[in-house]
Amino acid sequence: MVLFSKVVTAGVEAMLDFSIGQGSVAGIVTSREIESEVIARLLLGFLAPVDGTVSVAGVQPSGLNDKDLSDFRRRVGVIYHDGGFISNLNVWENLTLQLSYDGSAKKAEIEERGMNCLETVGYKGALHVLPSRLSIFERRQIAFARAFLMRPAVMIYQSTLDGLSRSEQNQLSSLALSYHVQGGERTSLFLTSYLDSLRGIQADIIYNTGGANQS
Amino acid sequence: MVSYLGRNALAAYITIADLITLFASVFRSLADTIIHGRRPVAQVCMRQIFFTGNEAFKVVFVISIAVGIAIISQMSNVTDAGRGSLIGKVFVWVVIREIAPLITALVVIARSGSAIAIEIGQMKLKGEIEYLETLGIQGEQYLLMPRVLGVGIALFILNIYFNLIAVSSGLLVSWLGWQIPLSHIKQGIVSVLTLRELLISSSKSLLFGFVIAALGCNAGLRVGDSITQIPQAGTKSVIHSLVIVFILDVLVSFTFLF
Repeated sequence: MVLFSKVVTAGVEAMLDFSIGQGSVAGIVTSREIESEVIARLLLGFLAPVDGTVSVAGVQPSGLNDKDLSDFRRRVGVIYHDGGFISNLNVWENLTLQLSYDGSAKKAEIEERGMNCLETVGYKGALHVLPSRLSIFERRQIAFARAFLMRPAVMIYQSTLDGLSRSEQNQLSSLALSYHVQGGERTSLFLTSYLDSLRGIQADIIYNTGGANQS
Repeated sequence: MVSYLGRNALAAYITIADLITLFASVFRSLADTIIHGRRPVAQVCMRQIFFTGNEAFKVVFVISIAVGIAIISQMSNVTDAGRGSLIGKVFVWVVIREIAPLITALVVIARSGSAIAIEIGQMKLKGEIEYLETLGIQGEQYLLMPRVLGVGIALFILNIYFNLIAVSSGLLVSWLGWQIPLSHIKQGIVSVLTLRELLISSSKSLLFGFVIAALGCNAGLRVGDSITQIPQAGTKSVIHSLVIVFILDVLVSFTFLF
């Protein structure tokens, strides 16, 4: 499902050589935050490896043209550590942007699905505020809701559980795991530089150069 | 000296090449937006028309009245016999064909061109363009195309307002201040106002709008990793727009001579 075959790239010291099977929950623990970012960017096709191959669901992102790359990215959910929002769009606009852009759902359906996803993640704040007004936990809640709206088969969590209280970590971990088990063969990949933050996730640690770090 | 000229020539070449590439991607994106009915892109376009057009209207309103009155004041001193008819002609040749598209473009350069550059520069610096692309949304389709189209449409509409207000205020002042019969001015306007004159004015305003927005986007996209590059992007966008708008004005006027 996700394959790193003898990947050499700038920003990551060691060679990346591992695979993650479809339906797995996997963890990658790096020595530095920047390494997690580089791995996420390789998976999404923002970076091409200097050597080796990266493939996700049989697709090599770095070899795709712009249109195919956009189609591919719509099938992958990403939860960035800061939420990954557009700062001049309010919470609701950020939440529904991808689904609305996709054009596959009508306005009423988008509203219904959007509200359901907000309920699922437990967000009770305002919808008309800008993302800068949200706490880091609320941002990640909205990012979960936005990803769930598109029902992706592959989820990438980039430092999603870092820098939160234990109870917040537990809430987001259970959200991630419940999404994982709902849809058959979903694959979840946690990228972090803090091994400790994966405590609530039963993840196979398939790459670890930062095990000594504690959150 | 030679190296200075060479550097500037190269910078101008790169800006123009970027502009052409950007226009090509904008028109490709337009086709995709229409085919797939991308709602958020249409919303960005509408917002851009509102911010550029509606919010610049007050400034354009004041300037157009001042220009209308200034032209009338000068023309009323130039000639006596048949001056009503001449004033009408001057309005068409000077205001509608030249001043209206230029002044509205200057207002939009100052207000929206720099704002677009700063907004896109900030988005680039914060990694928001990459966030958009992570969602499968192409940056040029969501950010560039609606801004280029929006500013073009807004400037086209502002140009119409400018012409109507400048001519109306000029007519009113000439009638009240110098007792020039309105029918004489009207006769002068009608005798030279053809579809061609309106086409020159409209095509200039549309073209200026497209170029101002494209240069703003281009300056914003060139922002690197430093926050100090954001105000520089705003300044660059204004300077490039001013130079290119004046050159285009001459080129379009020259083209329509033949």
